[in-house]
Amino acid sequence: MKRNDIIRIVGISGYFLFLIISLVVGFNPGKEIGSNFGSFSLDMLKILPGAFILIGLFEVWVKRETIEKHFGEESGVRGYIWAILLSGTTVGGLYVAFPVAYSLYSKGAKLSVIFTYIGAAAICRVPMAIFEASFLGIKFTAIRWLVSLPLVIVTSMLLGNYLTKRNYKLMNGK
Amino acid sequence: MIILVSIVLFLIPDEVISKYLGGSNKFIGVIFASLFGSITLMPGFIAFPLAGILLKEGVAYIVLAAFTTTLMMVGVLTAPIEKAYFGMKVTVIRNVIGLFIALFVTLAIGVAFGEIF
Repeated sequence: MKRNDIIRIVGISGYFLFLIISLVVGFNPGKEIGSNFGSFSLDMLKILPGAFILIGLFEVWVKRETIEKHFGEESGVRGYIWAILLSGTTVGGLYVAFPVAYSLYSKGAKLSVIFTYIGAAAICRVPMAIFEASFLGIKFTAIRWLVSLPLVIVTSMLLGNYLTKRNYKLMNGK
Repeated sequence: MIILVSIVLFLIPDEVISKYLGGSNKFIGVIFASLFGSITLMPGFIAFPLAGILLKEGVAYIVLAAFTTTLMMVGVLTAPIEKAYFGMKVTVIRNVIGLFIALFVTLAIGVAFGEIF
């Protein structure tokens, strides 16, 4: 066993031991940390399995040519529009967007398109925007979209072109 | 990662956030908001109600813009996941770009709501 693994195991078991002891003794900070942990885990457990099943189906069912045509080098402006539309439907957060983007890339999507997808998934998921508008007002949300979307597209193009020139290849995920 | 989030959220409770963000100096508020937003990771269903409360308490729109945008675009805590897919260099570049976009959004919100200039 590597040294890092031992540290990790000790750290994680220490953390849970702390939670259990806090629960038993009634140590409030510990209980609060525990409930944070619980609600986050639940949140991820609700979203992640579904997301990974969909990604798996996507890898099997969607033809490489389709992705290359709509998201690849030849796609032009449409690739960005598709990426933004697709990101609008993303649930969860960046932790869902990364695997989706990686899977798009491995099917032949252009780098700048997948960066657009990640950026857009961060800022303009539709369910989240509705939520945001109800708390902060439609004007706030509208301005945020209008300003950030063009910036996301432009910076993604720059980053994509820069990395393509450098012959950058995505490494294999975990 | 979830473990880290649960601890960070405890260490930075809502009262602390509203205390630092609600100060009279908007500039300092924006800086704190970007810091909190970049480091923490909050699901939308916690972040936006919190932003709504802050707004009612009189926190400026620009501060909230900085907070929510960095919250969504910059993720120090999600960096390990991002690194596994895209590598260190791209992760850093993308997060820095996210920070700049957040600043632009903040400026635009400030102008639109008449809070700066």
